[in-house]
Amino acid sequence: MKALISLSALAILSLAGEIFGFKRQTNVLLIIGLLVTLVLNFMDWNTNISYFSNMMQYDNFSVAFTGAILLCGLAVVLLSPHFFKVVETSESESYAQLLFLMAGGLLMVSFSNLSMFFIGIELLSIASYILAGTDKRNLYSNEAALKYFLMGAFWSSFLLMGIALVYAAAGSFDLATIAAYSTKGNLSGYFYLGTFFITLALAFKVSAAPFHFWAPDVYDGSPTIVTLSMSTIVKIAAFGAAARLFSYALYPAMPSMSKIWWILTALTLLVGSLGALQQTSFKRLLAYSGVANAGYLLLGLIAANNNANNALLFYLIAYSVATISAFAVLLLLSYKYDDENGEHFKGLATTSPWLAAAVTVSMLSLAGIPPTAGFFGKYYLFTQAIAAGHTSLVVVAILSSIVSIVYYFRIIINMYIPDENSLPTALELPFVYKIVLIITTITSLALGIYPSVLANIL
Amino acid sequence: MLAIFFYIFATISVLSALSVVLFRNPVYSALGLVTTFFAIAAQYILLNAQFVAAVQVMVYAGAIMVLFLFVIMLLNLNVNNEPSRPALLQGISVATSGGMLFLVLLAAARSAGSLSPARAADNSIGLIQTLGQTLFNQYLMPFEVSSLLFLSAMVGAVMLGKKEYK
Repeated sequence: MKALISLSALAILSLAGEIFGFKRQTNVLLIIGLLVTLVLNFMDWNTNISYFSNMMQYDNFSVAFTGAILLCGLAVVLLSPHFFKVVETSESESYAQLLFLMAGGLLMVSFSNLSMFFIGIELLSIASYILAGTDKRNLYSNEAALKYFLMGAFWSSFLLMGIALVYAAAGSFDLATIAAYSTKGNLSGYFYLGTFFITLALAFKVSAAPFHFWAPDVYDGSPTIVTLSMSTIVKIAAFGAAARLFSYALYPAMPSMSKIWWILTALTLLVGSLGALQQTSFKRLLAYSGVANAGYLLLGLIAANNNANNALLFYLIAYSVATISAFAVLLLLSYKYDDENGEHFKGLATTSPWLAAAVTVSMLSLAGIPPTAGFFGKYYLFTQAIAAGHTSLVVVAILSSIVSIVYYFRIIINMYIPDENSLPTALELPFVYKIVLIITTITSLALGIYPSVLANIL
Repeated sequence: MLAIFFYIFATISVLSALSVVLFRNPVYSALGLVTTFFAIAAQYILLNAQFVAAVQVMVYAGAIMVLFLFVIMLLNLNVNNEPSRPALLQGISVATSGGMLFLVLLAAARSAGSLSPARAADNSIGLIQTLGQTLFNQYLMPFEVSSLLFLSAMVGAVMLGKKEYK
């Protein structure tokens, strides 16, 4: 709750910067503000307070997921100023939208009433539609915003219909009441239908196949910094919301939906990793890798219990950290060469060996090679899925991660093979980028060596 | 007495809804849609749901229809320039899609079974007083947080709409 108030205040502060003429300082103020918010957030650890007739339940689950969202947001804010020098857009409003997006994410991981859930998901979505279109002169950015908006509005209506049907069956929006109703047994058909609709809408939000078609275009068209926040913050929030919804309230409907989940997960894994194989643009590759990673994360949703939520959190952090370092290097390349496709990764190791090392760790982590965080993330998720009795899905997931090694290693090999014709010049490395890259790389390695730090926190 | 009113408004809403689809002139269609919205608002009043009726008139018949008419006028759509398609093809596609939707609805309604209401019907539930009390007690937080949602949408509309002076 304190974190929510602080985030909203920061959003209004960054808008006020435009009026009162301190917009040059907005970035620094936001960094300080987000650090304060982080402290405020972790002060609520182990308190478990419910607010306003049980609309929000701020338990350890919420604190942990909000912490992850805030850290990713902090990384985005740190990397932003250099980006705004290159891309012409209204800086203050973009910051405000980013903070609104984070506030929406916070609501999505701490709701205990479906009405709050819907408002949270809409706040997050509207902010991300707008952010996708911030590069107004760029046609691809316009296309991304419009496409994302139309598809998102369409699936929001499914979400609302699903919530209404669950309400019709259980007679309440409250998660605890819905859980009490659904454990009684003898459920009405409307409950299943509602759960089905909610599942579809969330599958769209996390870009699970066959609802993934927007993801490559939107990721590719949006400004790179927005793509970064979409593939970290939005993903954490959407999976947090789904985990909360299914493990707190809708879990009795899971066994009867296991076929749907099987198809959804297997299709997402296959489409993601096979699609990524054919991409030449680095941003599109990361979009498809995001789809494949959504598949692994879906494995953790099926089990719908507290241990599985912990595995989800671990994987989301591992994935976000690796994505942040990959995007930070891509941003550096895009300043130098005006190239967002990652063509210039070729031979990067000869001129900027440390940057190449950071990208290597990040790719190894995404591919799930020990000793990186990604390996343990996958290990925990697979363990949870096997415990829930989905061995066949784990086989599909392992096959998909073998395929994924091909395209992640293609980038690593590219970096270490110098291209004689066009040797890249050394990249200018601003101080904040150095800090962010050092922190993300160390986190990737540290979580791979001491996974127990985060393994049993929920 | 109420039943008579129900049938009158039901007939109006069905006929005007049909006119939306059947008129070729977009302005007539838009006016048909306004009539439909008003007829549905009247149904809400018959159900003792004042608030929903007021919202229906203000938001749908007011704001959304004005938006529709603006688009029609700005894009100069009021002349009949819709390309005509072969009638047979149109008929087949309408029948197929409508039939499939009907089949899905029928199957869903059959397997869903009857729903016993979780709470006894209360005919004062749609009154503005009841709604206001619920909104400002139990649902205070969603009500307040939606202001954040509107702020975000407004800032976004201005941000995407304004011209950059650089």
